Amino acid sequence: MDNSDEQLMSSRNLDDIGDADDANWGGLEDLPGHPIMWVLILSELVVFGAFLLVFSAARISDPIGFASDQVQLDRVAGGINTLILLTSGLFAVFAVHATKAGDILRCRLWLLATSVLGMIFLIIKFSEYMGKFDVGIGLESSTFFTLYFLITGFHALHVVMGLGVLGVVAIWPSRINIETGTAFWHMIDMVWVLVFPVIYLVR
Amino acid sequence: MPENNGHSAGRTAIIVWTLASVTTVVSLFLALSDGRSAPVLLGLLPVCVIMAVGSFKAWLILLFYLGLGRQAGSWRGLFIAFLIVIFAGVLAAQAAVVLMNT
Repeated sequence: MDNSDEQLMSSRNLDDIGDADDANWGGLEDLPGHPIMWVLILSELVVFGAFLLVFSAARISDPIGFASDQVQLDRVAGGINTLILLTSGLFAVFAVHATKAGDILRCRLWLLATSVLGMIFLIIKFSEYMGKFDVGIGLESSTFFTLYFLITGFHALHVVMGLGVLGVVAIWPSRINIETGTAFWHMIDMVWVLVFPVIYLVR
Repeated sequence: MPENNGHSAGRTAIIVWTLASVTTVVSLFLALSDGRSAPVLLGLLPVCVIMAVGSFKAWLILLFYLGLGRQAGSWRGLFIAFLIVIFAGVLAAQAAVVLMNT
């Protein structure tokens, strides 16, 4: 083990890492959180990336139709949701800092604040969906709305899962757990900052 | 990150959040400034700017929230390649749209 490895190991709580460092994860063990979460994050990014590329490819065949449908989206709600997720990501960073400082109560409070913002995101998203359903727009209205509901719904499902993950790591707030849970949350955040421009702004 | 560097890391996170939030508000304002009534196709440059802003925010999240900045370069490279593929894909689609409508 060279000096850089020793520095890395000394900066982490070895008791918390458990079996994660016993296996060879091809460098993933050097990233924050459990390596298996990074495998999940990579696969999720590939899936969402494919969704966004499919959306962009579908738009080529009917750009005017896509632009007409996009006008009916609430860009302000989408922008507010972006700000909400960015802020929740900041709170998740604070939760990691708190657990590094050994302050479990503060860590849990930051995780709670992160979760509350996640719930507000879902409420806004749900109200957006309700607004569309009220005017007769549904999953089968057009290719644009099929992909809109599919991509944003799949993302919202990940927000729900993220809330569950944050809840679990708040119950067992070891450093590796908090890093793992917040890494998943940041992935949700990162996917949304790409979904928002592609679906709500590009036309 | 060393434990005694917590305040500095917190300050960095706040700067990143401010930067990402301001760019979100600006891009939203620009998107709304053309009016909502008519469906207008954008040119290549505005789409390039919109996607650059989105990719920049994703890059900030990767480096400072997910903590890839100080980690193994090869994994960071893979994630950045993912962003480049999305950016290039959306831009290529927009180029096709622009070409077909001129």
